[in-house]
Amino acid sequence: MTSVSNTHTVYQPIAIVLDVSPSMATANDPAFRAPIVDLNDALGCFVRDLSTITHCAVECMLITFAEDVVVECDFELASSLKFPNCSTRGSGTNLGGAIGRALDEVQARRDYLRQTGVEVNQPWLLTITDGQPNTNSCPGFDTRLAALIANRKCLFIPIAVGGCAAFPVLEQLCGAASKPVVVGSSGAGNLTFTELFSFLSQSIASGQVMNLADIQQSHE
Amino acid sequence: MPGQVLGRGGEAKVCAVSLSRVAKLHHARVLADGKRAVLQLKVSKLRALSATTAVTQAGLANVVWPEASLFDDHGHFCGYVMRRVDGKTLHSILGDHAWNLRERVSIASQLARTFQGLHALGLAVGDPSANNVLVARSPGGVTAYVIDADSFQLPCFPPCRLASPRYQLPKVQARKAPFAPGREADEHALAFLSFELLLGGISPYAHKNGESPQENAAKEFFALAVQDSLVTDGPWLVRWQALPQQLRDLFTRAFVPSCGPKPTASEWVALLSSISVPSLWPDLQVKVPVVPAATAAYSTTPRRLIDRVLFWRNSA
Repeated sequence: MTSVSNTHTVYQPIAIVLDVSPSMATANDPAFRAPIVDLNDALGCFVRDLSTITHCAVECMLITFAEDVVVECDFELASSLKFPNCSTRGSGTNLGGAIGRALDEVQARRDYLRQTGVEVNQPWLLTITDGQPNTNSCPGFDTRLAALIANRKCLFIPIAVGGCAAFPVLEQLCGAASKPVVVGSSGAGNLTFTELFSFLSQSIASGQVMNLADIQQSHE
Repeated sequence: MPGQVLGRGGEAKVCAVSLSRVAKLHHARVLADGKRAVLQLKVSKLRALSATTAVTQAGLANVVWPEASLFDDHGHFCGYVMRRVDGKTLHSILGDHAWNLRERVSIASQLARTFQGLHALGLAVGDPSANNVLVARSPGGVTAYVIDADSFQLPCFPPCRLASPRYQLPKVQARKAPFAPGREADEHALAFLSFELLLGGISPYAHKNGESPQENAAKEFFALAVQDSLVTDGPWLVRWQALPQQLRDLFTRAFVPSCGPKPTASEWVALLSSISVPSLWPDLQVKVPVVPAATAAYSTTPRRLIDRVLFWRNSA
């Protein structure tokens, strides 16, 4: 985890919560690449785009989950960050445990930054999953998330891979304010991970508050 | 035919046209819903205005005015040509120690003159931000150019699009008032930009245990003038205390509610063109070590000093 610097006075924390259960290694249509492969490529481009942003210090962390939850990368400035290549593992989908852990990390980072006096933009929580959770090591995570969203202390960006199984679960977590973004295989006419992350980095670069609905609309 | 893309923003991209001219080409969505005709008329008005003696007399030579409208293959307005300014965005130099304090005062002073001149003509900047100012160095000194002239607020034109949130009035950020480009909004942005320049990039509203930039601005808590213990970690307090008292008074009026009337662009011009500041921020000033002449390997020029301090700071 990095300390604050004198060159940056505004920070933008981003936590990425990524489902690496085995289904992420399988594309709905075998003609296309597996979501995890597309994701690894897109995350690399995302970090590269973020590293060019100068008006604020963008720092990212990566949490992966199957039945377990692993912090792959602690908060690090995008300019010095390199995400590991993620691969699938395990058999379960512990979405609640992963989001709960991400909220802990985001809260701790935000508190630290606030104590130093730098300004902290609303942290982003990107959650990427393709299936129904079948285990939860963090009961009550949904209530906590809902309170943070309602108080504008967290921008929740739910991403349903493939759409079918994950959409209703994520929709429930979003509340009425927004809808999950559906991402599919590249080359199949869907919104791709590359397009999604490009939109997200441009949103930060523009300094404007992002409207989640614009992501899907810009693709349609 | 536009050439290499020099920059791209949320509203337009800027392409090279020649060595001395660039084209600003607006994105299609910016020109949709009848906005094309309004923008075309505005560019035409600005072009005409720039040729008048009033503009020359108002000292607006540092504004990058539209020079010719551009049309696509269907004859529809799509952007305009303007002179090319090779400089850095103001934002990119805010934390850059290579730009010394005197140069920063000169930039702030020039900005204040431009704002003052535009206000004298009944115009407003509309979207004042550190990304809409380019600064260039030359042997004669520094020059600050105001770009994005098509976002200027002209009388009888609809209010320009939403401006950069960071520079908006606290009451707008607190959602107690709608965004309204004009003199009041410009004067707040001018004070904010000058503060960022002279302190090195920090917001006047940043403080310990604060919140997001918008929430901090909405609270209008100016820790540097009110409570030292809550000033953000770093060199900010030392730099603030090193500023001349008149300058600190003006910033205090600008950022502390009920501390007198907000300073006008003319007040900034009067003060910034007359004050004297040290060349370096105090946290960058170090005692020059006494080196016997016979063993001195190099002269301790100011530039070398800065490099040495930076090296020391980075290694500490």
